[in-house]
Amino acid sequence: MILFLVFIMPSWNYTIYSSSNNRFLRIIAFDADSDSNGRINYYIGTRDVPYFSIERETGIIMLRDDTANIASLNISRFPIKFEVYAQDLGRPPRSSANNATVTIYYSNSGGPVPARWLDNSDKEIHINISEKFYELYPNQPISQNGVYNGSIYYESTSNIHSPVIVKSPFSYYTDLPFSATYPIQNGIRFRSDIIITR
Amino acid sequence: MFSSVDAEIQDNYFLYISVVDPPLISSIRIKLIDDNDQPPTLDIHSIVLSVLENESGYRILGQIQAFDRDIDPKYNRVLYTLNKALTDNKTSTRFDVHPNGTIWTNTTFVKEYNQAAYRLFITAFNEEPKWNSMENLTLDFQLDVQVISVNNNKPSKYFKYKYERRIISFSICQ
Repeated sequence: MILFLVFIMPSWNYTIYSSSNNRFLRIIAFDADSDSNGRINYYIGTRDVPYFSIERETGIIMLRDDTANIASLNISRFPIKFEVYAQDLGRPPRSSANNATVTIYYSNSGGPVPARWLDNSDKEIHINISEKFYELYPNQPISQNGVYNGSIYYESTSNIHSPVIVKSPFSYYTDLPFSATYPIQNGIRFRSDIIITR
Repeated sequence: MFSSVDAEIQDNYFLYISVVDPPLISSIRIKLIDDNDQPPTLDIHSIVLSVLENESGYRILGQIQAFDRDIDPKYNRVLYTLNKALTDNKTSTRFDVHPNGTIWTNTTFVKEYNQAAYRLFITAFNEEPKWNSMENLTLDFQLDVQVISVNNNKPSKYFKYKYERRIISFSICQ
Protein backbone atom coordinates (compact mmCIF):
# COMPACT_ATOMS: atom_id res chain seq x y z
CA MET A 1 0.00 0.00 0.00
CA ILE A 2 1.33 3.49 -0.84
CA LEU A 3 0.95 5.86 2.07
CA PHE A 4 0.71 9.59 1.47
CA LEU A 5 1.18 12.66 3.56
CA VAL A 6 -2.38 13.65 4.40
CA PHE A 7 -4.23 16.15 6.54
CA ILE A 8 -6.57 14.50 9.00
CA MET A 9 -9.31 16.91 7.83
CA PRO A 10 -9.53 18.82 4.52
CA SER A 11 -11.00 21.98 6.08
CA TRP A 12 -10.40 23.62 9.40
CA ASN A 13 -12.68 26.31 10.80
CA TYR A 14 -11.80 28.30 13.86
CA THR A 15 -13.30 31.27 15.63
CA ILE A 16 -11.12 33.70 17.50
CA TYR A 17 -12.35 35.92 20.29
CA SER A 18 -11.05 39.11 21.75
CA SER A 19 -10.09 37.03 24.78
CA SER A 20 -8.13 34.46 22.74
CA ASN A 21 -4.40 34.20 23.23
CA ASN A 22 -2.10 34.53 20.22
CA ARG A 23 -1.93 30.83 19.36
CA PHE A 24 -5.07 29.33 17.92
CA LEU A 25 -5.58 25.93 16.34
CA ARG A 26 -3.13 23.25 15.36
CA ILE A 27 -3.37 21.87 11.84
CA ILE A 28 -2.48 18.17 11.79
CA ALA A 29 -1.15 16.11 8.92
CA PHE A 30 0.05 12.54 9.09
CA ASP A 31 2.80 10.78 7.20
CA ALA A 32 2.56 7.03 7.72
CA ASP A 33 5.44 6.43 5.34
CA SER A 34 7.90 8.70 7.09
CA ASP A 35 11.38 7.49 8.00
CA SER A 36 12.14 10.52 10.15
CA ASN A 37 9.83 9.85 13.09
CA GLY A 38 6.85 11.31 11.28
CA ARG A 39 8.18 14.85 11.44
CA ILE A 40 6.38 17.27 9.18
CA ASN A 41 6.76 20.94 8.33
CA TYR A 42 3.74 23.14 7.65
CA TYR A 43 3.50 26.12 5.33
CA ILE A 44 0.84 28.63 4.29
CA GLY A 45 0.31 28.24 0.56
CA THR A 46 -1.78 31.39 -0.02
CA ARG A 47 -0.14 34.75 -0.75
CA ASP A 48 -0.65 37.83 1.39
CA VAL A 49 -2.60 36.27 4.23
CA PRO A 50 -3.19 39.01 6.80
CA TYR A 51 -2.45 38.65 10.50
CA PHE A 52 -1.72 34.92 10.62
CA SER A 53 1.28 32.68 10.24
CA ILE A 54 1.87 29.00 10.84
CA GLU A 55 4.49 27.61 13.16
CA ARG A 56 6.49 25.46 10.79
CA GLU A 57 7.21 22.47 13.02
CA THR A 58 3.94 22.27 14.97
CA GLY A 59 1.30 23.46 12.50
CA ILE A 60 -0.09 25.94 15.02
CA ILE A 61 -1.85 28.92 13.46
CA MET A 62 -0.80 32.02 15.37
CA LEU A 63 -0.75 35.77 15.17
CA ARG A 64 2.10 37.07 13.04
CA ASP A 65 4.93 38.88 14.80
CA ASP A 66 4.04 42.15 13.07
CA THR A 67 0.47 42.00 14.44
CA ALA A 68 0.32 43.62 17.84
CA ASN A 69 -2.63 41.77 19.33
CA ILE A 70 -6.15 40.59 18.63
CA ALA A 71 -7.63 43.96 19.46
CA SER A 72 -5.73 45.45 16.54
CA LEU A 73 -7.37 43.18 13.94
CA ASN A 74 -9.73 44.71 11.39
CA ILE A 75 -12.95 42.72 11.88
CA SER A 76 -14.22 43.61 8.40
CA ARG A 77 -11.48 41.42 6.85
CA PHE A 78 -12.95 38.27 8.42
CA PRO A 79 -13.54 35.45 7.68
CA ILE A 80 -9.99 34.96 6.48
CA LYS A 81 -9.47 31.90 4.35
CA PHE A 82 -6.16 30.37 3.26
CA GLU A 83 -4.50 27.14 2.20
CA VAL A 84 -1.94 25.18 4.18
CA TYR A 85 0.34 22.48 2.82
CA ALA A 86 2.61 20.05 4.61
CA GLN A 87 5.99 18.62 3.69
CA ASP A 88 7.87 15.72 5.22
CA LEU A 89 11.60 15.78 6.04
CA GLY A 90 12.54 13.02 3.61
CA ARG A 91 15.01 13.34 0.75
CA PRO A 92 13.56 14.49 -1.51
CA PRO A 93 10.82 16.02 0.65
CA ARG A 94 7.28 15.08 -0.27
CA SER A 95 4.38 17.47 -0.05
CA SER A 96 0.83 16.68 0.97
CA ALA A 97 -1.32 15.39 -1.88
CA ASN A 98 -3.99 17.97 -1.07
CA ASN A 99 -3.89 21.29 0.73
CA ALA A 100 -5.95 21.95 3.83
CA THR A 101 -8.28 24.95 3.80
CA VAL A 102 -8.28 27.07 6.95
CA THR A 103 -11.04 29.57 7.63
CA ILE A 104 -10.69 31.92 10.60
CA TYR A 105 -13.78 33.71 11.89
CA TYR A 106 -13.84 36.52 14.35
CA SER A 107 -16.41 36.82 17.12
CA ASN A 108 -16.76 40.17 18.81
CA SER A 109 -19.27 38.84 21.32
CA GLY A 110 -16.83 39.72 24.06
CA GLY A 111 -17.39 36.45 25.87
CA PRO A 112 -14.76 33.93 26.89
CA VAL A 113 -13.23 31.44 24.48
CA PRO A 114 -15.69 28.50 24.38
CA ALA A 115 -12.96 25.86 24.54
CA ARG A 116 -9.20 25.47 24.57
CA TRP A 117 -6.66 22.81 25.34
CA LEU A 118 -4.82 23.09 28.62
CA ASP A 119 -1.49 21.81 29.92
CA ASN A 120 0.11 21.36 26.50
CA SER A 121 -2.68 19.04 25.35
CA ASP A 122 -2.58 20.87 22.00
CA LYS A 123 0.99 19.68 21.35
CA GLU A 124 1.64 16.50 19.45
CA ILE A 125 2.56 13.94 22.06
CA HIS A 126 5.10 11.22 21.31
CA ILE A 127 5.17 8.38 23.80
CA ASN A 128 6.63 4.91 24.08
CA ILE A 129 4.59 2.33 25.95
CA SER A 130 5.22 -1.26 26.89
CA GLU A 131 3.36 -3.86 24.84
CA LYS A 132 2.38 -5.93 27.89
CA PHE A 133 2.26 -3.41 30.76
CA TYR A 134 -1.44 -2.72 30.29
CA GLU A 135 -2.28 -6.39 30.68
CA LEU A 136 -1.02 -6.05 34.24
CA TYR A 137 -2.60 -2.63 34.79
CA PRO A 138 -5.61 -2.61 32.45
CA ASN A 139 -7.22 0.62 33.69
CA GLN A 140 -4.10 2.76 33.67
CA PRO A 141 -4.04 5.63 31.17
CA ILE A 142 -1.26 5.18 28.65
CA SER A 143 1.71 7.18 29.85
CA GLN A 144 5.46 7.60 29.81
CA ASN A 145 7.39 8.84 32.82
CA GLY A 146 8.40 12.44 32.45
CA VAL A 147 6.76 12.76 29.02
CA TYR A 148 3.03 12.28 29.34
CA ASN A 149 0.74 11.30 32.20
CA GLY A 150 -1.99 9.78 30.04
CA SER A 151 -4.55 12.56 30.37
CA ILE A 152 -5.70 15.38 28.15
CA TYR A 153 -7.07 18.56 29.64
CA TYR A 154 -9.27 21.24 28.20
CA GLU A 155 -11.35 24.13 29.31
CA SER A 156 -14.89 24.61 28.06
CA THR A 157 -17.56 27.17 28.85
CA SER A 158 -20.10 25.37 26.68
CA ASN A 159 -23.15 23.83 28.31
CA ILE A 160 -22.91 20.90 25.92
CA HIS A 161 -20.43 18.24 27.00
CA SER A 162 -19.52 15.84 24.28
CA PRO A 163 -17.24 12.82 24.67
CA VAL A 164 -13.60 12.90 23.66
CA ILE A 165 -13.09 10.88 20.48
CA VAL A 166 -9.94 8.99 19.53
CA LYS A 167 -9.58 8.22 15.83
CA SER A 168 -7.10 7.05 13.27
CA PRO A 169 -6.48 9.26 10.22
CA PHE A 170 -7.31 6.23 8.13
CA SER A 171 -11.04 5.88 7.67
CA TYR A 172 -10.76 2.12 7.16
CA TYR A 173 -9.25 1.68 10.62
CA THR A 174 -12.34 1.04 12.69
CA ASP A 175 -11.02 -1.27 15.41
CA LEU A 176 -8.52 1.11 16.97
CA PRO A 177 -7.33 -0.34 20.32
CA PHE A 178 -7.33 3.07 22.04
CA SER A 179 -10.13 5.20 23.38
CA ALA A 180 -10.73 8.15 25.70
CA THR A 181 -12.63 8.00 28.96
CA TYR A 182 -15.67 10.22 29.37
CA PRO A 183 -14.45 13.65 30.52
CA ILE A 184 -14.37 14.35 34.24
CA GLN A 185 -15.49 17.89 34.96
CA ASN A 186 -14.01 20.23 37.55
CA GLY A 187 -15.61 23.63 37.04
CA ILE A 188 -14.85 24.59 33.46
CA ARG A 189 -11.85 22.22 33.35
CA PHE A 190 -12.22 18.77 31.87
CA ARG A 191 -9.94 15.76 31.95
CA SER A 192 -10.09 12.66 29.81
CA ASP A 193 -7.70 9.68 29.95
CA ILE A 194 -6.45 7.76 26.93
CA ILE A 195 -6.70 4.04 27.63
CA ILE A 196 -6.27 0.78 25.79
CA THR A 197 -9.62 -0.61 24.70
CA ARG A 198 -10.24 -4.25 25.50
CA MET B 1 -5.16 -11.98 30.13
CA PHE B 2 -6.06 -10.49 26.77
CA SER B 3 -4.50 -7.33 25.41
CA SER B 4 -5.67 -5.67 22.23
CA VAL B 5 -2.26 -4.21 21.43
CA ASP B 6 0.39 -6.43 19.97
CA ALA B 7 3.72 -5.00 18.84
CA GLU B 8 4.16 -7.96 16.49
CA ILE B 9 1.08 -6.86 14.55
CA GLN B 10 1.42 -3.06 14.77
CA ASP B 11 3.98 -1.13 16.79
CA ASN B 12 3.17 2.45 15.78
CA TYR B 13 -0.07 4.34 16.14
CA PHE B 14 -0.98 7.87 15.18
CA LEU B 15 -4.21 8.99 16.83
CA TYR B 16 -6.04 12.22 16.68
CA ILE B 17 -8.11 13.28 19.61
CA SER B 18 -11.11 15.51 19.22
CA VAL B 19 -13.80 17.10 21.28
CA VAL B 20 -16.73 17.61 18.94
CA ASP B 21 -18.58 20.38 20.71
CA PRO B 22 -16.90 22.74 21.35
CA PRO B 23 -14.43 21.72 18.62
CA LEU B 24 -10.87 20.89 19.67
CA ILE B 25 -8.35 18.66 17.92
CA SER B 26 -5.03 17.28 19.06
CA SER B 27 -2.92 14.22 18.29
CA ILE B 28 -0.75 11.59 19.88
CA ARG B 29 1.86 9.26 18.44
CA ILE B 30 2.34 5.96 20.26
CA LYS B 31 5.24 3.58 19.85
CA LEU B 32 4.76 0.12 21.33
CA ILE B 33 7.89 -1.27 22.96
CA ASP B 34 8.15 -4.99 22.33
CA ASP B 35 8.17 -7.37 25.29
CA ASN B 36 9.43 -10.92 25.15
CA ASP B 37 6.06 -12.64 24.86
CA GLN B 38 6.52 -14.84 21.80
CA PRO B 39 8.10 -18.31 22.02
CA PRO B 40 10.33 -19.82 19.34
CA THR B 41 8.22 -21.75 16.82
CA LEU B 42 8.86 -24.34 14.14
CA ASP B 43 6.62 -25.53 11.32
CA ILE B 44 7.46 -29.12 12.22
CA HIS B 45 8.21 -30.71 15.57
CA SER B 46 10.30 -33.67 14.45
CA ILE B 47 12.57 -34.68 11.61
CA VAL B 48 14.66 -37.69 10.55
CA LEU B 49 18.29 -37.23 9.51
CA SER B 50 20.64 -39.88 8.20
CA VAL B 51 24.27 -40.55 8.98
CA LEU B 52 26.44 -42.87 6.94
CA GLU B 53 28.21 -45.64 8.80
CA ASN B 54 32.00 -45.76 8.84
CA GLU B 55 32.41 -42.01 8.32
CA SER B 56 34.72 -40.31 10.77
CA GLY B 57 35.70 -36.83 11.92
CA TYR B 58 33.76 -34.03 13.56
CA ARG B 59 31.03 -33.37 11.00
CA ILE B 60 27.77 -31.54 10.65
CA LEU B 61 24.54 -33.47 10.19
CA GLY B 62 22.12 -30.62 9.73
CA GLN B 63 20.70 -27.44 11.17
CA ILE B 64 17.33 -26.45 12.55
CA GLN B 65 16.03 -22.90 12.47
CA ALA B 66 13.15 -21.79 14.65
CA PHE B 67 11.28 -18.52 14.19
CA ASP B 68 10.33 -16.08 16.91
CA ARG B 69 7.67 -13.45 16.18
CA ASP B 70 9.01 -10.87 18.62
CA ILE B 71 10.19 -7.79 16.74
CA ASP B 72 12.95 -6.71 19.11
CA PRO B 73 16.18 -8.43 18.01
CA LYS B 74 17.14 -9.26 21.58
CA TYR B 75 13.83 -11.08 22.04
CA ASN B 76 13.65 -12.87 18.68
CA ARG B 77 17.16 -14.34 18.88
CA VAL B 78 16.85 -18.10 19.22
CA LEU B 79 19.58 -20.35 20.62
CA TYR B 80 19.66 -24.14 20.67
CA THR B 81 20.87 -26.80 23.06
CA LEU B 82 20.69 -30.56 23.38
CA ASN B 83 18.01 -31.36 25.92
CA LYS B 84 19.87 -33.85 28.14
CA ALA B 85 16.85 -34.37 30.37
CA LEU B 86 14.90 -35.88 27.47
CA THR B 87 17.79 -37.45 25.55
CA ASP B 88 19.34 -40.68 26.79
CA ASN B 89 22.96 -40.64 27.97
CA LYS B 90 24.39 -42.73 25.14
CA THR B 91 22.86 -40.46 22.51
CA SER B 92 23.97 -37.34 24.37
CA THR B 93 27.60 -38.45 24.16
CA ARG B 94 27.42 -38.99 20.38
CA PHE B 95 25.83 -35.72 19.23
CA ASP B 96 26.47 -32.04 19.86
CA VAL B 97 24.06 -29.19 19.26
CA HIS B 98 25.65 -25.81 18.75
CA PRO B 99 23.85 -22.59 19.81
CA ASN B 100 23.21 -21.76 16.13
CA GLY B 101 21.12 -24.93 15.69
CA THR B 102 23.69 -27.06 13.88
CA ILE B 103 23.86 -30.73 14.88
CA TRP B 104 27.30 -32.36 14.93
CA THR B 105 28.80 -35.75 15.63
CA ASN B 106 32.31 -37.10 16.12
CA THR B 107 31.23 -40.74 16.28
CA THR B 108 32.05 -43.36 13.67
CA PHE B 109 28.90 -45.40 13.43
CA VAL B 110 29.15 -49.10 12.68
CA LYS B 111 25.68 -50.45 12.39
CA GLU B 112 26.60 -53.97 13.30
CA TYR B 113 28.06 -52.85 16.63
CA ASN B 114 26.17 -49.65 17.47
CA GLN B 115 22.46 -49.10 17.37
CA ALA B 116 20.80 -48.25 14.06
CA ALA B 117 18.86 -45.18 15.19
CA TYR B 118 19.14 -42.45 17.79
CA ARG B 119 16.54 -40.05 19.15
CA LEU B 120 17.65 -36.72 20.51
CA PHE B 121 15.71 -33.71 21.72
CA ILE B 122 16.78 -30.15 20.97
CA THR B 123 15.50 -27.17 22.91
CA ALA B 124 15.17 -23.86 21.10
CA PHE B 125 15.13 -20.97 23.58
CA ASN B 126 15.38 -17.21 23.98
CA GLU B 127 18.39 -15.93 25.86
CA GLU B 128 16.22 -13.25 27.50
CA PRO B 129 13.60 -14.38 30.02
CA LYS B 130 9.88 -14.19 29.35
CA TRP B 131 8.38 -10.71 29.89
CA ASN B 132 6.54 -11.63 33.10
CA SER B 133 8.83 -14.24 34.71
CA MET B 134 12.43 -15.33 35.07
CA GLU B 135 11.83 -18.37 32.86
CA ASN B 136 12.87 -18.64 29.25
CA LEU B 137 10.44 -19.24 26.43
CA THR B 138 11.38 -22.61 24.91
CA LEU B 139 10.39 -25.12 22.27
CA ASP B 140 11.44 -28.79 22.21
CA PHE B 141 12.19 -30.46 18.92
CA GLN B 142 12.59 -34.21 18.29
CA LEU B 143 15.36 -35.36 15.97
CA ASP B 144 15.76 -38.97 14.88
CA VAL B 145 19.09 -39.96 13.37
CA GLN B 146 19.24 -43.21 11.46
CA VAL B 147 22.47 -44.92 10.54
CA ILE B 148 22.65 -45.84 6.86
CA SER B 149 24.63 -48.94 5.98
CA VAL B 150 27.37 -48.75 3.41
CA ASN B 151 27.56 -51.88 1.24
CA ASN B 152 31.26 -52.59 1.66
CA ASN B 153 31.11 -56.42 1.74
CA LYS B 154 31.83 -58.16 -1.57
CA PRO B 155 29.20 -60.76 -2.54
CA SER B 156 30.34 -64.32 -1.83
CA LYS B 157 30.65 -66.87 -4.65
CA TYR B 158 27.57 -68.68 -3.44
CA PHE B 159 25.42 -65.54 -3.60
CA LYS B 160 26.86 -64.57 -6.95
CA TYR B 161 25.96 -68.01 -8.36
CA LYS B 162 22.48 -67.87 -6.91
CA TYR B 163 21.92 -64.41 -8.30
CA GLU B 164 23.06 -65.43 -11.82
CA ARG B 165 20.72 -68.44 -11.73
CA ARG B 166 17.80 -66.20 -10.87
CA ILE B 167 18.54 -63.93 -13.82
CA ILE B 168 18.78 -66.92 -16.09
CA SER B 169 15.54 -68.34 -14.82
CA PHE B 170 13.87 -65.02 -15.33
CA SER B 171 15.14 -64.89 -18.96
CA ILE B 172 13.82 -68.36 -19.73
CA CYS B 173 10.40 -67.55 -18.48
CA GLN B 174 10.26 -64.53 -20.69
